[in-house]
Amino acid sequence: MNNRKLYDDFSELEKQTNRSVEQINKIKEKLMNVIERNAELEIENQHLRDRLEELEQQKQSTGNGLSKSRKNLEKLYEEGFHVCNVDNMYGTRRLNDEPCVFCQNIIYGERHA
Amino acid sequence: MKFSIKRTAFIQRLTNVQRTIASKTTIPILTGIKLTLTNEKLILTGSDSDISIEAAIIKSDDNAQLEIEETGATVLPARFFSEIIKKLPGDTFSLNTFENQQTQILAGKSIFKVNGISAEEYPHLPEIEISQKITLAADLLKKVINQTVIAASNQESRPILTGVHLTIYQGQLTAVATDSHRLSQRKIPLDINDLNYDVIVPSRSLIELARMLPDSSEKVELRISENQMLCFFDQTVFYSRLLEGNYPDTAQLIPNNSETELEVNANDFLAAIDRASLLSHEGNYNIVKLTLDPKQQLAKIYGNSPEVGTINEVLNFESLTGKSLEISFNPDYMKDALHSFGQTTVKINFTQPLRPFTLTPSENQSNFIQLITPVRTF
Amino acid sequence: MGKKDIIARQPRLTAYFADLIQHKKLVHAYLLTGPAGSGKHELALWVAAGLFCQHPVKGQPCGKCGECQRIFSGNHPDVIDLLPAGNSIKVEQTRFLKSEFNSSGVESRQKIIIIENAEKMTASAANSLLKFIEEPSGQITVFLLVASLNQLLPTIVSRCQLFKMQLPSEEQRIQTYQQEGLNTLLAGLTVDIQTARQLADEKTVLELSKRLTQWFLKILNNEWLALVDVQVKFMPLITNKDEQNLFIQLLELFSKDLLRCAIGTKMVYFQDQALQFKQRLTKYSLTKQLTAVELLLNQPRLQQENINFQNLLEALTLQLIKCYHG
Repeated sequence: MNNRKLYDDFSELEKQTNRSVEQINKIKEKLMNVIERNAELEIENQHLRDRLEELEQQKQSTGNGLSKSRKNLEKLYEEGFHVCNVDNMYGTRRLNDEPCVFCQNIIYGERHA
Repeated sequence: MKFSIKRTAFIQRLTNVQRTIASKTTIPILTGIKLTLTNEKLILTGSDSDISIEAAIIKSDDNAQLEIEETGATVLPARFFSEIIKKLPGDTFSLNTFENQQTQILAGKSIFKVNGISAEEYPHLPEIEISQKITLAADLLKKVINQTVIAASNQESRPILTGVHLTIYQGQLTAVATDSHRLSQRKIPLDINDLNYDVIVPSRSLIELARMLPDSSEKVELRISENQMLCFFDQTVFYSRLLEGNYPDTAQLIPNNSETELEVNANDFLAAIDRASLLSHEGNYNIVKLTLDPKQQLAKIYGNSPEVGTINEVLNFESLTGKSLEISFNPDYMKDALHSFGQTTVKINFTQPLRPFTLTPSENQSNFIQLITPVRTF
Repeated sequence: MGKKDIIARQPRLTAYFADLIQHKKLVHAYLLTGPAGSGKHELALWVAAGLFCQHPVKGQPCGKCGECQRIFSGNHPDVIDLLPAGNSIKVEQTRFLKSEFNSSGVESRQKIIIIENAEKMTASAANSLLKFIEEPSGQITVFLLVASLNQLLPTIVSRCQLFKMQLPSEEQRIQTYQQEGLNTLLAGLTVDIQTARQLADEKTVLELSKRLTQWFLKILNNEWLALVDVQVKFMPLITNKDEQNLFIQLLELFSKDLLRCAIGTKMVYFQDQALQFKQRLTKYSLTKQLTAVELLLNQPRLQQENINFQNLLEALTLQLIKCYHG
């Protein structure tokens, strides 16, 4: 009687263990999916951040008017220097702070290839 | 070389040529005037390296009564020679050059002997084939020159900008001059289609050429070599050296859109600017401010000189459209530009207060553009 | 000076430039260095002629055609010769120079600009020169002529092709100086003809050399009074280090002339007294003559050792007397 119960109990345990293994496998599979999904989402997230920065910059250049490099040139121009190179004048002072169309064209003009 | 000629006719040509002969020259021979006698004409040549002029008297000219006995050429000291000719007695004189470059000048009872230099020593001016000529009316060329040279720079620190950029392409001549503060562009159609040129001519040369060109609409010829520009008119050839270097691209400087447009009568507007500039000239900053309000159809000009006074004037105009605008600029540039239009209505197109604005005649808008850079309003 | 002259004086450089001209390989800026009279200007003109000549022979100018003649007589509109007046180039000349960098030639696009005494350029002129070298326009070639490199801005030197004038040999120099009426002694003292003229004007050198020969004659005559000469005749004229160095140089030149005498050739530097020396010296054996020369040649080293100059010369006098007269 003892042996029979022992055997049954053990069978029961076996069944339970099998079920646990099954569950573990299922969970493992689900975990793999989750990890995969996580990786995908991280990448997507990074892409979205990059895209956002790009859009921000574009907004800056069409909204405020100037990209960073042009802002630097604008600053030099405001300080009174030529930023164009007509007649090799780059870096020289603008006489009487008079405006220079070529400098202005470089700073504010449309981009040429 | 041997000829005789009427003094007055000779002196007239001589005066034209002498304008180019400088007293201080780079090479000694340029203080001389070159005389060349062919079977058809007598040519006087003078030069200062930048500008050279060949003025001819032809045999068939009755006023001159040129009698050609023997062809030849020589170079004589210009100032001395012209003084002699001017002071000779009588109406005519004759000239004879001997083997040793000595030249004898006879008039009445006066005999002069002047030592000359062989014509071989004189600079050789380029000759360009007649097939390469460009024809246009003298008065038109004169106008184009006068309308563009005003914008050229006169500072030696900007050598390229002291020239006028001439491009000939697809049957059109474009002349552009700028001193980087304002710009003038003129386009005229030509009757040739296959010649292309891209050169820079010193504005000083063009100013001199414009002075010499006749006022009529007679045709003159332009020819361009790799280093000189030639202009043929009235038995005269005018040579100008070209500038070396690359002229900056000016086409992209001209805005192709406009936010505010003001149409005025050039002379009236000029008078108003002139009044406003009375103040600005007195002060440290040569600036006047223009306020445009299309909604209220109001245009005002304001000039100010601290401690001296102010001027406020409401302007007459033909039309005013677009956005409101306050803009300041150098009134002298504006005056120069308005002057060049003559008696007509002009359209002034503005974009933003700190971007250049343009002036064009109300008709023919693309042929003539003046551009001015504004300054900060403060 | 004709073109033949420069070929003889600067064979290496004329051959080099002729080759460049022939193969059209001239660059835009050349720097020629060498003392005055070494032929820089002549070389620059010669190269200009080679470029414009109508009948060049292997890149060399013919010297006869209209172009060559005009260039050598200074009348070619496209060969521009700039000689700064005074201590520095005038404002007008600078302006002229700038406009020439930017305009084409009169007869063709080709142009040569020769700037003599280039060290006299102002900062503004040097600047426009630099701009031109960095972005040369058209077919303009510049020749800068300087006496010595350290007088020019390093930025300019680094951007030019540099050429040193070959200096004439001593013989050629002696000939040239003689032609100018200068004492041949000066040829031994300097390679620069202008310095030579200066020294001739100052008269110190010539006086000192005269006294030197008189002193030596006394030595040959076994006159002890030669010793007194040192204090009375030499020292008054030798008051500083420069004059000491000059005297040492004179002794060196004299020793060279003594050697010439010893081997039977003519004296070169001290030609005026040559005859007197020759007669006296031949009396002595070759050994004695050579010893005397050796004694003289020792002096520069002794001078470096900071011995009192008067003592040095007095000792020399005694040694020479002992050498010749036992």
